[in-house]
Amino acid sequence: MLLEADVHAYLFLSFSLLAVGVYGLLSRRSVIRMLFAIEMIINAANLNLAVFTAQRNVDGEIFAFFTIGLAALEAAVGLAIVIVFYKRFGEVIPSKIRNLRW
Amino acid sequence: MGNVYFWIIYAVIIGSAIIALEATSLLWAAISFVVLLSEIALVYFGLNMPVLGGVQLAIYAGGVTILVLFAIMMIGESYKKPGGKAVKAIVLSLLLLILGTSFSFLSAIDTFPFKTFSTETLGTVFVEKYSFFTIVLGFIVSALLYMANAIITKKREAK
Repeated sequence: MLLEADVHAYLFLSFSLLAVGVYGLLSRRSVIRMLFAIEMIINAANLNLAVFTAQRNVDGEIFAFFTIGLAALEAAVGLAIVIVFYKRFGEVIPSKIRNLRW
Repeated sequence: MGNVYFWIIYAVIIGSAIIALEATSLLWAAISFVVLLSEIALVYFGLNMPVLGGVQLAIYAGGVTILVLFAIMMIGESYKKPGGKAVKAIVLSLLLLILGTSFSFLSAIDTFPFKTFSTETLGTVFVEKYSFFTIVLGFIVSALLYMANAIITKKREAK
């Protein structure tokens, strides 16, 4: 195996990615970068699922498939909201996204 | 802990994640995001999960990135400096990292040797245990796609 690492190393990678994602989600004011941060957090969870799959049984890998599919859909819906908001207001500032009624 | 290849991949993943959040140009941020997702797929390949790695490359590094690039082309972006929450966010994320890593070392996570599951095993378990869940997920996917389409195409009502 090319990557020789134990479960703690993979968990450290996962927690590091989670930390960067939480930092991005809390500190960025751009919606697209917040979407990047959410995807990072989801990828950290997927890494955990994959590592514990490699240690135990194959179920976690299947859940990772489902998570990937739902994350892609979440990105699609999120970007749709962003585009609609931009068409209406001409800018996309998360703190102003309070009223999407139209 | 891990060999040198693992730590190289670790550095690339975390570095590209930080660049994706901090780059002033959103195009470079998107490119860095692609690098991050591809490196995670490489981790999956390294864990002997080629199907998961392929799905990660196809859906994340392919589909989601294309969606993001289209959004960037449509709306553009002006760089906005992070607000005053940046310090709090750094502190919170470092706290998360330290706590999570400490708990992973302190907990009873054992270090079994990694196993390799064949694609046949994966397919068998998928069909036998998760086929109903897949049908439910199909309905959820349809509803979400309909919702995205409705959001995009709905016209504003006259006041």
